[in-house]
Amino acid sequence: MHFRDVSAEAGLTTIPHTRTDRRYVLDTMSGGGIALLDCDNDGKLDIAVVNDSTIDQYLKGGDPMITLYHQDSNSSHLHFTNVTVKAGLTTKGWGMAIAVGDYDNDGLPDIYVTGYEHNVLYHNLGDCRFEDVTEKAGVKGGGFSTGAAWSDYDRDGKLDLFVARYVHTDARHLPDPKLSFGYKGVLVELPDRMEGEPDLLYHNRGDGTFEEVSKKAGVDDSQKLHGMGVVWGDYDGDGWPDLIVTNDSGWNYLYHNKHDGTFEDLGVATGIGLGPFGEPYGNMAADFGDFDRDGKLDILDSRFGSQPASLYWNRGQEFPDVAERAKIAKPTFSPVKWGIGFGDFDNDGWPDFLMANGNFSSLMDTIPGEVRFAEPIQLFRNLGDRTFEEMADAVGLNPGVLKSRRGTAFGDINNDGNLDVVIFNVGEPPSLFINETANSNHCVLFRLIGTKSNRAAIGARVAVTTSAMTQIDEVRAGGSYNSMNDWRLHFGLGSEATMTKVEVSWPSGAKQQFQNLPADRIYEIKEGEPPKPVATLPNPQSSSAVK
Amino acid sequence: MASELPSPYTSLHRAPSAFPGKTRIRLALIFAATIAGFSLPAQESKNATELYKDAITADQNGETAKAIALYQKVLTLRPGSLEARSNLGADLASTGRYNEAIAEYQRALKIDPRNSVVRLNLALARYKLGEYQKAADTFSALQKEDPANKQILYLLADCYLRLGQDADVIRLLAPVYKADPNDQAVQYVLGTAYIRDGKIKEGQAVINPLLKNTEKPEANLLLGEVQFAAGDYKTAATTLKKAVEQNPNLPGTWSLYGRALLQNNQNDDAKAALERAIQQDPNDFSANLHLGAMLRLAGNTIDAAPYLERALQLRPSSPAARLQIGALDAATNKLVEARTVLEQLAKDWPDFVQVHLQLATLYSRLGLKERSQAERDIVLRLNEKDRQTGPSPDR
Repeated sequence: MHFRDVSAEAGLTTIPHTRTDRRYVLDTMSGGGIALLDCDNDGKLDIAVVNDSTIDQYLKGGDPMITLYHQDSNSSHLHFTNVTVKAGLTTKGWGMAIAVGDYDNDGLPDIYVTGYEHNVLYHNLGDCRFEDVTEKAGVKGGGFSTGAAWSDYDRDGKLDLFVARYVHTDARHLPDPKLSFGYKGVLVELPDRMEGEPDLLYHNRGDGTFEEVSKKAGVDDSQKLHGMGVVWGDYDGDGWPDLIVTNDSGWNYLYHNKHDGTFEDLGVATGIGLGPFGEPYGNMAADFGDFDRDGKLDILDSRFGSQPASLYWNRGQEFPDVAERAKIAKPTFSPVKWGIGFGDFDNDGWPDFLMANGNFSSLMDTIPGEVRFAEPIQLFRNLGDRTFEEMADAVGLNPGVLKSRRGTAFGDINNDGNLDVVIFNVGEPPSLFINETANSNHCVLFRLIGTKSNRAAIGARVAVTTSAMTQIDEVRAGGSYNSMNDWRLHFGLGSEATMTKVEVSWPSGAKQQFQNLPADRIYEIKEGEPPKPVATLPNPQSSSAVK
Repeated sequence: MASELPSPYTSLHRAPSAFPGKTRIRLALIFAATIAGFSLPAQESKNATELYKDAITADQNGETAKAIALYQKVLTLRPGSLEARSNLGADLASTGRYNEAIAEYQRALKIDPRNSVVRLNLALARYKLGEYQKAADTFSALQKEDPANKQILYLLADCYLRLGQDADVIRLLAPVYKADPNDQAVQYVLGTAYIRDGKIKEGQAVINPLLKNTEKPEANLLLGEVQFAAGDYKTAATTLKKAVEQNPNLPGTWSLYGRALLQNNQNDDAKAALERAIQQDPNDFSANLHLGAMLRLAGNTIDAAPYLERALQLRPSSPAARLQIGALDAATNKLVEARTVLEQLAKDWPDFVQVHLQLATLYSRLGLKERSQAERDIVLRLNEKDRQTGPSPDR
């Protein structure tokens, strides 16, 4: 396994208007989102980075809430161009998270960006041009929105949207730090005792507008916990998307979909809500993935410093935390952890996971012994025996000066069959790590297109079987910390060059099965139709140098 | 360098191992002095008298095995002999055969239920077996009968400390400390109880004289205890590491060191330290509990079971040990057993948040959704009370 940071040479050079010596919760906890999307359906992934801001800058009107880098179509090497203004992504504010969905089923990815006081929905007009339709759609939000994710929770064929919210804070009436707060002698505002804000669920009416139904659906967060990460996934395999909301200084919600438009919170009941002694953690983000290939989605949970990350093993009605057994508790204990996600980075058929770290303010560096503002990335390779091995340094993920990381997004950016990584950096341009792993393992990518189901096929589950294994994954639209992976599903297949069976379970309820598909292709599967190879991936063992 | 400080743990914890021997000899001499009166007209009585005399001689010569055999022969001839029964129990105890010793003492007490020496020996045997509650009950009765007996006082205080009944330690020793503030054994035990009971200031006031010399392992153990109680686990681990380096045999040190390491997420080192603590003292409740809990949380239920069972055996009423057993049952799919344990625990300790957390998951697994949600609501309500309720995991 090997990665190379190509950010600068690939043109990811825009420096955000922000600062690192963050003092207020509004700036210590803001920003972080990054997304991989194909904004013009040219088959090449583009990169959207959320822009955070500063209090002064925000009070003067703020910054454009995202930067969009379009992957050049005719370049001889991997390169991106900042097309934010040309794309019409000019709404100003203070960005937090990004979620990409196709809410009007027109085949073009739309962008939703959360932020402080208002969110923005950009409707894709084609050719990577967007229109701000927030007001018309009724999804402005307000308050301090954090994670967001799309899903068709009622399976009516239209994508709905969940938005978590954090704490109540007023940028115009901030407390005097000298009078109000501090941590070990450093004047920083801590969120623990601040009043939280309830969460939002926008139901898609199908006419370009949404209805806020969180209370009716039972996901309004009446406890006003401090919402952070959001990820949808069908943990019980009943075909209906369930929802995790990670809460800072509180318990995690695991909303079980009751199939009638409502949910029940089983976070505490299933064991993912609180720590083993009943203690609430500073939860940041979560991801679903079947790390042991037992056919059930397990859960990863990233947290604040001096609290281990959790790996919750799906045992049906409970999720025991197996972080200690999996040998990830100790190495994940210390850092302040943000972005987290499963991905098979060496194509061996076992989902690995990557985590992005860094303390919330550079002011913390003045405290001896405190977790540093800039911290190493961690990559845990799945050893196939329910344990992991940390190897980020060894595979080139921490070269040079460390950065303070936040959100992560995974996808095959150069279409070579290897899963690449983009990461949000505080106060700096994002990092793009191209996965240059060259081994004999095979892989496959699937791009799903719903017809009866929502067009982006969010929530569709694919099960890939070879003579050696069966793997599952689902199409998601929002996760990690405030971020968004490529819609295309990527599976490493190890030494298997043929998939004996590929089964797609669509959100509509339809199921399709295909036999004996060759590996090392990118397939497009339209609901109800056979798979269509749209690209051939390089042969295994050949170099996957940046193209 | 030999410690000048008295080690209260040493003086208290080691006392019992010396006590049975001393007590046995005392008994033997007492009864040896009455051999003359032991004579009875019957031939078999004469034989019993002779055998008893031989047994006393064997005891005095340190031939314990021989003495045991002789007492047993005496008792075959004279089953109602209190002296032979009691001395046999003492010899059995001195060779580590505590269960057999207890049986003999119990038979002896049927002959003379108020015999204070036999009751003391019975309590000591139970103490050695880790049956601290039963031992404490007897020591408590004996202490009331003989309040001036400091050995009984210390033993009773140590039982309470081991049972986590810190308030009882304070009740027992505070007047003693007031009368003699320089009794270092009392300083140590009382100070420890204050700290564990959350009365840090009182504890520090009592143990300050002991803390002055950090060249002493006992002082570092105390200092580590204070730091641990204050939640400064990193510093506590450093202090306790120094203590174990100074004296690796100082009772209680490995156990607390292991717990400090556990708090610092140094699980491998914590495991080694806790194993060392148990090797040193198999009756170390805290080490058994925390090692077992650590293994259970790591999913190693097979290895966790004996430690947790031992912890429960040492403190049958400990909510923490009962919780761990309930959680272990749940983890090993003994759902009915888990439910029984946890529901009773919830009744006994309604504010113990971890119990309700376990029950919320257990009910969910059993398909009892409403009950699960009710338990979840209790957890959240208790958390709302800032999680200051319920007993500490050590209790």
